[in-house]
Amino acid sequence: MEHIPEPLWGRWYPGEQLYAGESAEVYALTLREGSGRACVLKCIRVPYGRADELARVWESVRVQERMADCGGAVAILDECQLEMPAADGRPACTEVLLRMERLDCLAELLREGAQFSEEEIQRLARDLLETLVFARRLNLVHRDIKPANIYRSPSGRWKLGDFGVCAHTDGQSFASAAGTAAYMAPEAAAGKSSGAQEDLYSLGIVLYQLLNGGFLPLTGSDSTYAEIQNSIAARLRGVRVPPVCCRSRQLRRAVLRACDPNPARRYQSAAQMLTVLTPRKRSVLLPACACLLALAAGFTASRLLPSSRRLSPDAVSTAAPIAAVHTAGSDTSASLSAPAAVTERTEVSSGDADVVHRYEVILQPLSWLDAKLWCESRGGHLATITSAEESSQVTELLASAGAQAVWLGADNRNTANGFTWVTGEPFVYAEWGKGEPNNDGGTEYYLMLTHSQDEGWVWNDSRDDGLVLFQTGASGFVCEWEGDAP
Amino acid sequence: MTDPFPTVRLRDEAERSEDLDDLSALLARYEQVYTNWRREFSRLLDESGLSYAKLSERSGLSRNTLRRWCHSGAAPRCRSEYLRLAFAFGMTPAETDALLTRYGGYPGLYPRDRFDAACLFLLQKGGSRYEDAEALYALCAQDDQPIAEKTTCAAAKLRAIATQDEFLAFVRQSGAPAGGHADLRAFLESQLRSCGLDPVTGTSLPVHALFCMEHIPSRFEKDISLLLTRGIVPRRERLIALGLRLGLMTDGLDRLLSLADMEPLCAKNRVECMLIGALQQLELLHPELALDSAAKLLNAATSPALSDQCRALLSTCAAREYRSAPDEVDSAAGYLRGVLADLVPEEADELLGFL
Repeated sequence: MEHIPEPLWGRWYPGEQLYAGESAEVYALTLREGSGRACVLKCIRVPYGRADELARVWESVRVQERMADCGGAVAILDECQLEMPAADGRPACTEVLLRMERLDCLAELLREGAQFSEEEIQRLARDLLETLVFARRLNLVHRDIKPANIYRSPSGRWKLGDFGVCAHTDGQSFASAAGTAAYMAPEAAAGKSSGAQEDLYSLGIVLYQLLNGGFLPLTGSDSTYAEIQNSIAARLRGVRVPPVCCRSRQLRRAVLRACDPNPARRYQSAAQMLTVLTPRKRSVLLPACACLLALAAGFTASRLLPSSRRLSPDAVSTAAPIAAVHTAGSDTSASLSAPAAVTERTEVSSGDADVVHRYEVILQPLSWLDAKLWCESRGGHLATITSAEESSQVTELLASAGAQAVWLGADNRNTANGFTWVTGEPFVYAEWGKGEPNNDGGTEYYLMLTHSQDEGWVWNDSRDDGLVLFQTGASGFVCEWEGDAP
Repeated sequence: MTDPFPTVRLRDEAERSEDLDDLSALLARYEQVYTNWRREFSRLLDESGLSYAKLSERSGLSRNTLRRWCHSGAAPRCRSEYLRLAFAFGMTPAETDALLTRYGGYPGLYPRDRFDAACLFLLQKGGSRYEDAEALYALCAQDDQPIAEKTTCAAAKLRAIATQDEFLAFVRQSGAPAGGHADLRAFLESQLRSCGLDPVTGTSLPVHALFCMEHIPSRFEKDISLLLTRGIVPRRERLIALGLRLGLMTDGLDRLLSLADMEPLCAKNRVECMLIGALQQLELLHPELALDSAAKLLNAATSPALSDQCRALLSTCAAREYRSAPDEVDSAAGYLRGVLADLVPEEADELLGFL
C-alpha cells in the first residue's frame, strides 16, 4: 500500500492485506491513535482509460450504498478515486478506494469449520430475505448469492456484499458474466432469467448447505470431485434436491421450495418466503408466554395482546417479576444475536401518565445504522429525547452504565431541513455542544450524545462509525420501547 | 451448463486482435474468465464442503498454507502440493492432469514414471491419501529394472490393473525407464541443431556454445540437460520461455507443449492469451521471424500435418512478398518481453524472469 497516501480520509491507516483478488485487494484499516472498531479498505483497480469499466464499478458501489440504507448490505463508509502512475510517470490505472465495515464472511466461517444452529440459519434467511425485499423495491437482482458474498455483522445481522454482477429487473443489466455454478438457478444457467427468483434459488441452496453440515445438495463428506461436479450439473439440468435434515418442518419446506428447479413452483417473491419464515406471535394461544416475552422485550402486555384477550392486572403483576428475572438472567433468545455488552435498563414514566418509556443502554460500538437496526429488530427504536426531563433520565442511566458516547435516534442524512427523530416526533428540543452541529467533513449525519469534562452531556453530529473514537466498553447506543401503562 | 466463454473463442479473439490496445481490452473484458489459482482453490474448497482443518488433515498441508491460497493469491510451490490436493479432493487422473498443467505449469501424470504411475493407479482406484502413493512408490523403487514401455501402452496397462500386487508386478515387469519423453527430447534436439547450424560448414554448434552465442541464460542449459539425461520436464513457463528463446512461434510452442504432455497455449490464461495475441501480431509485422520459425519447425517436424502447415506458411510468405514493419525487432523473445512487461507485468513476472 506504499503507493497510497496516508492517512486515508484524514485518519485511517491501511494495515495487513486480508485478501488479494484479480482486480481488488482488501486491507485492514485502523485508527493509529485508537483501538476502536477496525474497518476494511477495498481497493479496486481499473486499467487507465477504461471509462466504461470504471463507470460499472461506481454503479455497483452506488447500488451497494442504496442497499445498505436498509441495513442489508455491507455499508460503504468512505470512498475516493486515485490515479496511480506507472514507473515512467504515465497514468497506469485508476484505483477506487472504499472504506467499508469489517464483517465476517460466511464462506470463511464455513472454511474455519463453523457450525450454525437452526435458529441462526433461520435468522440468516430472514435477514437476507428482508434485503431481497428491499432489492425488489429497487428493481434489483443480486445474481450471485453465495457464502462468499454473505457477511455477518458484530450484532449478528447478516448482510449481502459484492453487487458487481447485479442487474436491474427491467432488463437493463450493467454486468456481463454472472453467477457461480454451484448456486446458480437452472434457468439462469440456461440463459433464461427469472428475475428475483434466481436469488431465491441461490439463497435456498445456501440454506440447504448450512443445514447439510456445509455440504452442497446431493453431496457429502466422502463425495469425490467428479461426484460434486455431477451433482451441480444435475441440479442445473433440473434435478430436484432431496429434503434436507432439519428439526423445523417449516424451514425444511421453505428451503425445498426455494430450491425447486421450476421457478413457477418456487416462492413468487422474497416477501412471500419471508412471511413463511417469520415466527408467528403465539400471544393468542399462549397468552402467559407472550406476556413474559413481551415484558422481556420491553413491551407492556396490553400493547402486544389483542384487547379482547388482555390479561388481568393480577396475571401481569405475577408475570412481570418472572420476566424481569428472565431478562436479567439467561435470555436465550437475546443471546443468539445480541452483542455482548454491558446493559443498563430503566423504565420511566413520561409526562403522559399513560405512556411508559423503557430505555436500555447497549455498550457496543456499532455503527449508527446497525444500532438502529438492532433496536428495531427488537420492537423498539433508538432513543429520542424531546424534553429536558427525558434528557436527564437518559443521562442518569448513561452515567450509571459508565458510558461516554452513545447514539440517539436522529439523523439528517436524507433531509434538507436538519435533524429528524426516527419516530417522526418534532425535533424541537436540543442540547448541542459548542459549535455543533458542524457537519465536519460533510458526512456527519447522525446524532450522538457524548460526555466531556467541560460541557457534561451534550449532543454532537457524527459519522456513521463515529463511536470508534471512543474507548471500547464506554460507547454504544440507547434503545427505547414505549407503550401504554398496563 | 455449457461454458459461456469457451477457450476456442477466447483464442480466436486474441488472434484477431489488431494491436496491443485491442489485446489489453480483451484482457479487461474477460477478467473473470481467466484461470486464477485463488479463485479455483476457493471453488474446490467451498464445493467440497471441507473446512481448512479437514482438508489439512486429508492433504497433509498446513492450515495456514490453505488459508494463504484462499486469501492472498499465493499458489503451491511444488508439484507434490498439487498432487496432495488432487488426492484430498478425490480427483480422477484426468482432473489431476488439468490441475497440474493448468494451474501448476507442471506436466501431467506420466505413466512411465514410477511415482506418477503409483499416483495414477491410486487415483483411478479412488485413493484419497498422497502418503499411500509415496508408500507404494517406496515399494516400486526397490525394483530398479528400467524396461522401456510405450507411454500409451503403460497408461492402458495401468488402467487395467485392479490390485496393488498387480501394480507391483507390472512395475517389476516393465520397470520405469530412466528418462522419458523421447519425442520431446527429439524435438528439442532438432530445434537446437537448427539454431546452431553453421551456414558455412553445415555443422551444429554444441548446446553450450549455442547458448553462449544467443545469450540464453545458463539455467535453460540445465533444463535441457535434465530433460535429456533424466527425462525431467521443465515447468510450463520455462518451457514456453525456452521455446521463445529458440525462436518458436505459436504453432511451434503448441507442439512443444503437447510433447511435454501439456495443453497448448491456453487463451484462458492471461499471460498466455497475451502471448497468443502478441505472437500473432509479431507474425504479421515481422514475417521474417515467422518464416524463420516455420523453417526450423519444418526441420524438426515429424508429423506430416505439421510439415504441410509449415510448407504452406513458407510458400504463402514467399508468394506474397511480405515486408517487415520498419521498427526493428531482433527476436520474438525480445518483442514479447516488452509487451508482457507493458501489459501484464505482475502475472508475467515468472515468464519475464526467464525471457
